[in-house]
Amino acid sequence: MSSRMADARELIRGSARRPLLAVGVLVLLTVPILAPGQSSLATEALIFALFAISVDIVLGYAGLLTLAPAAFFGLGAYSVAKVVVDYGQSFWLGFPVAIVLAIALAVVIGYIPIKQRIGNVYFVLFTLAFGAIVTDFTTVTTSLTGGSNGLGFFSPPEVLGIDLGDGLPYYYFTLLIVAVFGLGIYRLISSDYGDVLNATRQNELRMRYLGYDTNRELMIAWIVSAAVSALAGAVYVGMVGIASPSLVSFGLTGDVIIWIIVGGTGTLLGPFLAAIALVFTQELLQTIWQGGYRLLLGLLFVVFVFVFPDGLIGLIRGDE
Amino acid sequence: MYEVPLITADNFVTYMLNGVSRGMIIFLVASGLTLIFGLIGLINFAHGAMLALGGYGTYVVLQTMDNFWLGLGISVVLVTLLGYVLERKVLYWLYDEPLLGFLGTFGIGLVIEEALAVQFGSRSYTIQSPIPQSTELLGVTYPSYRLFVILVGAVVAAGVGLLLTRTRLGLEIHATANRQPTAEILGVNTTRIYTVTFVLGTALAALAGALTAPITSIYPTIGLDYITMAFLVIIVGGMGSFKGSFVVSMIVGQTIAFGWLVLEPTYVRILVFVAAMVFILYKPRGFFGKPEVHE
Amino acid sequence: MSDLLTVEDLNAFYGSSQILFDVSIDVGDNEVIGIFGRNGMGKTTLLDSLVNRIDRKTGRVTYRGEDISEWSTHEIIREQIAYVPEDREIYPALTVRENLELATPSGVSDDVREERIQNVFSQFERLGEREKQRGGTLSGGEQQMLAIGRGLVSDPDLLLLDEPTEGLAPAIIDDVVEILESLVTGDRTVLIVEQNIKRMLPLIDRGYIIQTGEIVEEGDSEYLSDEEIHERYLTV
Repeated sequence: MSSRMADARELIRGSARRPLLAVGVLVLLTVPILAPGQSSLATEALIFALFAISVDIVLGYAGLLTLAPAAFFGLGAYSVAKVVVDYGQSFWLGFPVAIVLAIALAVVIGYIPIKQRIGNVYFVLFTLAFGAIVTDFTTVTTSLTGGSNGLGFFSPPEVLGIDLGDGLPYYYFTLLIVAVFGLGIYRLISSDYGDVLNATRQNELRMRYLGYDTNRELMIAWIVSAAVSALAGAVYVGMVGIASPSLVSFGLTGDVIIWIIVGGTGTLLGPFLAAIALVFTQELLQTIWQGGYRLLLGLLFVVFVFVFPDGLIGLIRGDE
Repeated sequence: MYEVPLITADNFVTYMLNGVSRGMIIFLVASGLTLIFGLIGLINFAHGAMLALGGYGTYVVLQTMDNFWLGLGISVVLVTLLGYVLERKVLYWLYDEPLLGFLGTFGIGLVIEEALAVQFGSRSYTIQSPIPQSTELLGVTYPSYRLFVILVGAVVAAGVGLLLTRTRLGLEIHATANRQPTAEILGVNTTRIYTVTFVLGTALAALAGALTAPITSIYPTIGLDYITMAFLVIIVGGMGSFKGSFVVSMIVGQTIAFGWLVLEPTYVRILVFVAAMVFILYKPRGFFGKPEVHE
Repeated sequence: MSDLLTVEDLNAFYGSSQILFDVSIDVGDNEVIGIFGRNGMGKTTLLDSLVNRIDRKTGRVTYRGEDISEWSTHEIIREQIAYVPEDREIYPALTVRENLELATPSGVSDDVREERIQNVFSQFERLGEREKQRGGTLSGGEQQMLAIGRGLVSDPDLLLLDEPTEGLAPAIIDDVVEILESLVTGDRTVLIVEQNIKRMLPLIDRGYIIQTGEIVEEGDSEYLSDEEIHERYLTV
């Protein structure tokens, strides 16, 4: 392996970690100043990065392969849009509404399959059906969701004299949310709870013999993931100003699964970085080769599944 | 507001035939999926892309050589060949890892669909019916091509059904699906059985794609729409049950054909999906307790 | 005497644990060989290794002078080797006849297949009576007969039998032993793995005793009838 790769490994693992982290934070803070035209793209990238790690809790740590993350992301987006556009209420009211609804829906959908331990294959198919219902429902209930027209347009409000409808303030607002909840997830996963999830994924039976209520642990992961996904959706709709069916689509579900696999399942940093990198790559390619991005994304994904199943992080760490 | 259409004796027959022809296409997709799942335990998400390739292949040949039947034949053969290469060179390594198999086929499906989108754009193409005539049947005039689709579906159902229950290959498929190590010590080349089954399933998907093209038009993600429905059909029918996939496809076809009389079609689809979710939770082996392929 | 099957320095593994250690045996043409040992000593693993039904192994297995160590299971079986597994492994949803048809090599003609199945039915009349019954409905003894019948329809040169009397009622064991007696006469090589050495000694020409994955004794049936050996390696 080249010495450059070894250097990269050293950066991720070893003593260089702190300076690297500092550089990362500095870049995140100064993106709008370094690249003034790109603040909305950077906002989108951050939101998707949060979305990716929220889904990774379920997919990478709990080991529940879900095909419905977009349903929760979309629920968050539609909640905020509904509260603002149809009910004329505050933008901020939309956030608790989004999170409460996501938790409620997560309990309704997840309780029985997790309790009955329907197994990986059936969980995939169960969430496939749920995801299909949500997409169909979103397009067909025009009075509730605006159908294919979506719910919009609106702008986030002013706070303390700062207009969040502007790209730059909204970027910092997003950065704040992503930092708070991203670190929250990081703390949760680094705690004993993260170890419990890892152990449960690897050997659920043994964990039960050891006295853990594994159903409860998995349920917590499922609910936390749904709530943060919905929050990401809520922040997203504030940026684009409209909730539309593409936010609940299988396309978005596919994207988030790809970010996680390419970044490395069960590592928070990997999916976080992969989401950001791929959102920027998409923008870059959009101008060069219209439509080619998703083909390349698909190829990249296939390469990672078959050749580097541990993702970018695994590649850099050189784990076996 | 949604207008509720009225039912008469004439359109009753028409709706029923619509249900059968639609059910037959769903069956062609679902039966391939259920064979592959029942034998290999693989959730084959690339199945929809094979259907899409079957449709686009037919379209391309029709454009260049002006012959639908040639297009159907060529595209089914080529897609089947692709299925063979895919199984031998790629998927074979993932059989012990169901989740990796799912992700792998998901990725392969994505690549194929995006390649189609790059080549043909995301618009949909309609194909002229190769049999534009109509036939008098049960007192109604019905498009002959749809009757042809019904006939093909029935022949495939009977043919594959007999293959599974009456031939040595069927016996070997059953043995491999139920206990692969035992099949090996009885001299069955189970690696070959996996390949044959995967290729057969893929051929059925390609056939479905070619046959549906003149009815529904084709677009890059057509496969996703079909396999979502097909997956839920095979859940309700019993994963691995060929007979179950046929019966439930027929029921779903009729439900959609008549359901839109009382509900908007999308709601009918939603109801089918809800039924599938309930089945996964409470009767994961589906309606049919003793599938032909999988025990 | 020419060797039909030779095993040299066989080491076998399940996952990371080693089950067999440097096992070497040889089986001559038309010999009847027994392999004896307590439960969990590696008897089944030895048979599984011969037909490559295990995770990993090292060493050499030679059959008719050909190295078959790396062959896949069905390729080995198709060299007219029949394997009758310990758990019978009858297909419960298939009928008795279908179970037998499945085991008949696909190359043989319909007439030959029918003849062999009828031979099994004449040897095991109870199977003939239950021809159309599903395998899952058979009793333990009948399932053992079907398992042996499945081994015979391939007209094997080498028959591998794994604990044919295990889990059967004493009266049924008598039946099975009687069947085995009829199998070991004539020009067929048989390798029997058993715990029940006393019932097998009259049948075998030679035998090995296996203890925690190693061959510890080897000899003809007279030598192996020594009570002291039984005491040391076989009594539970």
